[in-house]
Amino acid sequence: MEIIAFDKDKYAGYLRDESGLTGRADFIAFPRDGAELSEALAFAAKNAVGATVQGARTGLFGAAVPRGGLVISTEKLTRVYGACQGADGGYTLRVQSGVTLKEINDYLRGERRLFGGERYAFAPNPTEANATVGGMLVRDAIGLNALRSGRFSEHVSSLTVVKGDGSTIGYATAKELLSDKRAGADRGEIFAVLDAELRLTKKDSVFWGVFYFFDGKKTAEEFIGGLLSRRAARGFLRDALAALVWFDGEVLRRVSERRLADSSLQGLPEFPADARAAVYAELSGDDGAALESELCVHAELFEKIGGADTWAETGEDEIQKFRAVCHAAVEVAGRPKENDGDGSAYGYADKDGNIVFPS
Amino acid sequence: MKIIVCIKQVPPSGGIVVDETDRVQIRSGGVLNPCDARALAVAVMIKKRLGGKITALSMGALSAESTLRQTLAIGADEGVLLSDKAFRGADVCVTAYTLAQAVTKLGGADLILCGQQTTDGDTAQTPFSLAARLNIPAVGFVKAIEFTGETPIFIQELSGASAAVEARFPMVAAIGLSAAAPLAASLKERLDAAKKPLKIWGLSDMPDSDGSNYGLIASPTRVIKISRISTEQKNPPITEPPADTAERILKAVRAVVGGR
Repeated sequence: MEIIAFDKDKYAGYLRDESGLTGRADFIAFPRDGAELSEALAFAAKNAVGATVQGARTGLFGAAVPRGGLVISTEKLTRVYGACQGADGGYTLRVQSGVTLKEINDYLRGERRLFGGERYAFAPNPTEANATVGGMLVRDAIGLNALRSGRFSEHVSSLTVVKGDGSTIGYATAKELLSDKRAGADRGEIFAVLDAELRLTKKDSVFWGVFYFFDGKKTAEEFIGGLLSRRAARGFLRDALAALVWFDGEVLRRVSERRLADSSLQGLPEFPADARAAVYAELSGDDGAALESELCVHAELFEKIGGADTWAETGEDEIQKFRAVCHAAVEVAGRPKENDGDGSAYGYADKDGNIVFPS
Repeated sequence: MKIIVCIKQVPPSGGIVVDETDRVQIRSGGVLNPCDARALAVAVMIKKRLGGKITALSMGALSAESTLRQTLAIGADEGVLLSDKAFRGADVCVTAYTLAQAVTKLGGADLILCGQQTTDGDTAQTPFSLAARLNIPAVGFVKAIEFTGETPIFIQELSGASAAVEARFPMVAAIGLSAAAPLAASLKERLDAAKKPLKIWGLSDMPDSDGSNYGLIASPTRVIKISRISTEQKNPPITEPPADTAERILKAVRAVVGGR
């Protein structure tokens, strides 16, 4: 594998990520397997230059922006090794770290891709389909459906890390890597994730997405509080309510401005003119009638607190346009410190019901 | 006013899957074709003004029922799905024949609205072929709707101009993306859509129930090859100062037009 002298014209895109920050680099490498990844890391160690491991550069926090030295792009680490069934009867999918969320979903949605006669899915959904496994793993990404699925690391059953000395370390869980010192991150040693075994979950058959619009932040918060209380009290809703997302009026305004330039948003009308806040709720399961009953209760709660407009859609394909709104919101919301001070301009409810900014 | 809106369930963006044996698309779920969503919005607009009934008509796999339910939530009063193995693989000509059979069975319509084109077939010919089958006029590339009194006026996109076409019923209109904003159903409308009537018609329900007149076998055209196009970004993002970019663009323009 060639370690390439960095050509600013040719590789300009590799100096930036979605944070908007721009860095600098001296070399770039595109490893295709563990040996080449180790070779790249060894080059950085031997020449005492820093290394930045890059996924798809979709992060909002500048983690993929190089600060000199070697850029190691994982864009050619794209092997999907395949799925297997574990001793517990569950299924996992082993992939290299440069594989994107879209590639995982495409693989699992493929014709006749059944596991024991059932459809399976990879639950985490950070909405950025081009994000790579490696990138999501090291950030322990939180996604749209954090309420049900938690963080990315909760869906990784094992992974392999490569170090600059050529050694590899296997971890049973992503959490273990994030807290372990063997990789040497605490000593400034460079390591990179080569591959990971992702835990799959049985795919739901019925999906609902609903946008609730409010005239102010207070009523939206009251609605979220109502849904979370109901979730805490009822076993069914705990499983059915997959995502709860909150938007303030400024984020709605910025997403609206983006509509003309973003084709994924053009299947929707304008937000209601008087909307000053919105909540997006996603429910899924296999019992369609039970989900509809639950939605009727949500509608009653919404009416009771004075909500007016809703948008609702059912079907996994049709709710993608709602998820596109959530994704656009991440990109226009700015960092928590840049909005209204408490990070609440836009956020996902996590497993504990706290509203968190996506990462 | 009796309005029929022809709608189609299309694969989500980038999701076209083809059966390699006969190059026919495999249908397994999808979304409402974007131009059809606008056609439905136009139908709702006309119904609000003139009254009447909207029937959403679709041909496809049984999975298209979910898309028809969506149109019922947005404003259609009833839905009809034409679904039968005999209809599979129909080209434009035979699709139009099948739709025309259904329109006849429905007792005709004053106005038939279609999306200008679909995101999977992309032929933009079905509305006109349907009009020919029904022997009624058609207006295409509709980019806006206006009214003169109670008469709808279809503003038609032409090359560098537009034409205002007065509606004379019965007729077919092919609606483009800019004609109307898509509508979203409320939660109540979406839940109530399950109670609206939806019929599924097969070959035996058609006025002409001879299977040899439908589907792939009756289609005069055949897809012989489907290629996937991969795109590659050739131009890297611009990272230099804007003044440098402006200078480079100026040089490039001068290279083409000379020193003028």
